[in-house]
Amino acid sequence: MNLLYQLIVTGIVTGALYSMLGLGFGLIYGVTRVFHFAYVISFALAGYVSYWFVRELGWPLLAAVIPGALAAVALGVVSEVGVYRRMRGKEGSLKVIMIASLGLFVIGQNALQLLFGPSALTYFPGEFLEPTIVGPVVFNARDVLTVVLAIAVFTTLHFALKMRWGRALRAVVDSARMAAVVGIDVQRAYLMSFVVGSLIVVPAAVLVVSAEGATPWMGLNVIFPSVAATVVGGVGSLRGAALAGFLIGLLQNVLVWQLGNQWQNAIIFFVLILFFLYRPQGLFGRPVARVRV
Amino acid sequence: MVDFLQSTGIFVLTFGILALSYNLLFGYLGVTSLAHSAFWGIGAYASALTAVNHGWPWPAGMALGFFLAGAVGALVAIPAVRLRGDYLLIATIGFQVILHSLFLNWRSVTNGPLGIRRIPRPTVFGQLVQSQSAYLVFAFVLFLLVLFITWRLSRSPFGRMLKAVRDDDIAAQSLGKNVVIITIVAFAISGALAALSGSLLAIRVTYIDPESFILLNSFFILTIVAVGGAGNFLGSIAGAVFIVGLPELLRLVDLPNGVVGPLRQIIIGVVLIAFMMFRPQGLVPEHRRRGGDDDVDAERGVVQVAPG
Repeated sequence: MNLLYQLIVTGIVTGALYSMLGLGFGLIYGVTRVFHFAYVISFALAGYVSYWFVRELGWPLLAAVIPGALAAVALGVVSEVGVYRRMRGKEGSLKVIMIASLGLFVIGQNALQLLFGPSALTYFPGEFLEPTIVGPVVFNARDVLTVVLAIAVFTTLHFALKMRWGRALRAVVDSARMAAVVGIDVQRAYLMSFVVGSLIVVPAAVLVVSAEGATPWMGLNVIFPSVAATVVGGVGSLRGAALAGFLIGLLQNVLVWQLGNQWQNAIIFFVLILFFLYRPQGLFGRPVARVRV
Repeated sequence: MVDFLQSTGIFVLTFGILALSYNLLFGYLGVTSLAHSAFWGIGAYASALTAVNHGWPWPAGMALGFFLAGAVGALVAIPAVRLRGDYLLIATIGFQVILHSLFLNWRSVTNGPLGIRRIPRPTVFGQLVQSQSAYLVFAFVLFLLVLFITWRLSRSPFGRMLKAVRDDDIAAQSLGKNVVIITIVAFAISGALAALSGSLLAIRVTYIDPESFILLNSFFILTIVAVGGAGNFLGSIAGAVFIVGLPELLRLVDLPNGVVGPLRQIIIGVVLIAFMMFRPQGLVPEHRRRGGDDDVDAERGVVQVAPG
């Protein structure tokens, strides 16, 4: 029974991280329909750049987050303006963009490996990780921070999407063509989704680097559960992504407890494929038409 | 230098087979899949395990891999029947990850991360294939076989049906074509042919481990066909020569070991994006038939100006 409480708490923490990343990914995907694989590079880049400013230049972590965020956003903007935008609107462009985003991801991951090497790098080993014990449950300051930041990101985004530019984004999610007809600058909305989406990776990156450290493939470990959160929750649904992130975090922790961690990716994908087949709109999404490439 | 050329040649042929088989999905059926290195792995493991554990001759192991990968291919086709685009891509990544997980974690069968060593070399007409040049001939014959099969398929009514499904699956369906069966058969054949290349890898390198059959290699196969030119054979072959051969040149330059791998992948990624941006039809564009078909294309073009 005590173990159950612990699993729920750990599930909430893992899920908070996935929800956060799922929100950013889902925002970009929902608005632009670009499956932005290089999103995970923005995530890793935010981690590495903030690490570099902390360790090499001695900046305080809170200040080092700013260059980290700039780097993450810059990569998102370069991907959109430099690559995706040039490919949009031509015949077969959906497929071309999908392949190009895979290419960006591979380039980014290998560039990070060349620049920073393959070993894990943390800001201050051990900090934030002092365990606190409350009743049957063990957690640390970083866990609390994860949940608080996830809630903050969720609320900010919720209200931002009610503002003028946020409403424009939501209109583009519904139909880019209709949005253009009523005078919304669709190009700008696309760019905005890349800026905001890439910004959301920053808190998640700092949390992961402070616990597990930055590695070139740190994004790959979290992106699939996060994408799963987006899909299972329903593309375009904020509360869906948040809830699904938690469910997947919980599922993952139960799996690790029962089977060890080697099967967790396989099982998360299995769940994801089932959702694709039987409920592609997710838990809270509206039915989607078959997207043709 | 001769040795370098021969080993690169075998490498190009191994990936050439993969490209030809992947082209059936990517070029003909129009599906972007990232599960191909898993099929490759099924062939490699089938050959390696039957030869090492049970002493099967290599053609038997190769045949087993062929049929097993075909069956798994049919399974992977299930999401392909219902999904397109990004979702299908993710579903195929899912199969790739699940199968790689099996290679890695099903230790009692696959020996896990340690892989399988001392896979016997093949004998052909009583001759042991051992030298580089012998392997080159062996690989070339296998490549020709796969080329012949895929060429026949593409000229058959089945090949035309694949392209019909790719261009407009609803129209194909309304003409009474069974899109579901076509999709499943295409995945099965494509997976089965990829397994042949896996068998070739196993009996040539005589050692396999799960790290060959990762997502990155599926991406690599996709790159070969996308850069070479989808929907025709010359494209797959040109892509294999270009994408496999070109980074091999890095070996001739003196670079530290840790740099070569990532640099190679960066080059491949850059080439891929450059092609997608400036020449999305690839090195060798698909040959569109003249006459009636062109008119249809022209009409489609008009429709696409004001998409519905």
